[in-house]
Amino acid sequence: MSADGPKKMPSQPCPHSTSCPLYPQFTMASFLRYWRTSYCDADYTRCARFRLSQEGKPVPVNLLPSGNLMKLSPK
Amino acid sequence: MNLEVLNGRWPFWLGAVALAVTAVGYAATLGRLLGVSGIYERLVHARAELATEREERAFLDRVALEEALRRETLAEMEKQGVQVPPEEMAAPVSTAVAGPAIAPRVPLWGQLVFLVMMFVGGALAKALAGGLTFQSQPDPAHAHLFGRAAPLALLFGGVLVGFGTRMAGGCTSGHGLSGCGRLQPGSLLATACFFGSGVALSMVLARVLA
Repeated sequence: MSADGPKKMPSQPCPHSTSCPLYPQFTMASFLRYWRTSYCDADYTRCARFRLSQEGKPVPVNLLPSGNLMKLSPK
Repeated sequence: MNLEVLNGRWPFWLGAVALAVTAVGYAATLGRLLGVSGIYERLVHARAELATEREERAFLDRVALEEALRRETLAEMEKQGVQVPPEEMAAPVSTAVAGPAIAPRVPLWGQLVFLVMMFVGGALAKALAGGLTFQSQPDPAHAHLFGRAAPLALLFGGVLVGFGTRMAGGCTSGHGLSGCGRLQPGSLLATACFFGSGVALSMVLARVLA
């Protein structure tokens, strides 16, 4: 809890859940639901992808809600 | 058409038609809005942009996506102190789900071609009007204002334009063409600001030079 009192959480899932290419992938395994329960369906305003899109900037496809960039391509 | 009357320039309406065709054609064929300062920014960050292009291609590789998601998720959960039940970790990951299509990204080389063709198109238009010349010296009015520092003033002006367009999130093409065409309030305001300040500065300079 912050000094300003309890933080108000959004009650709706992320408005970008239907257009986010990562959101559907978070059902591939049960532990992947971590992202949904921590970000998409809970406090999506913390999501790095959401924040970047709110700034009108392009969102890298491999950007995780935590702000880490997934390494997909071979080195 | 007598181009002499137009001071060697093409008629304004032809420029308007060309700009409209370019902006609409760009959006229709590439699925992205035209913004020249944004293209410059991508080229400045070419290395990162090429890496992003590689990652987008790799995103379509289902196996690579599954592996990367598993690795990154477990690392993040460990970092946050979230315990993963062993049976969940051992469970096979199902096939990646077909999500929404990734918005098409204009290839970097295509944007480089666009910038080059902007210069070629401008030179071609001037050549057709019969007034294409190359000069290495600053314009007389410019030299009158800044003296020997005229080249530095040009450079400084370019830096200011680059800084301003990135701060405003667009330039005359991004805000002026793409944004105003879509009646975006931010773009209308930005365009009014930079055209308004341009007109005001021109009037001041006209008085100074007179």
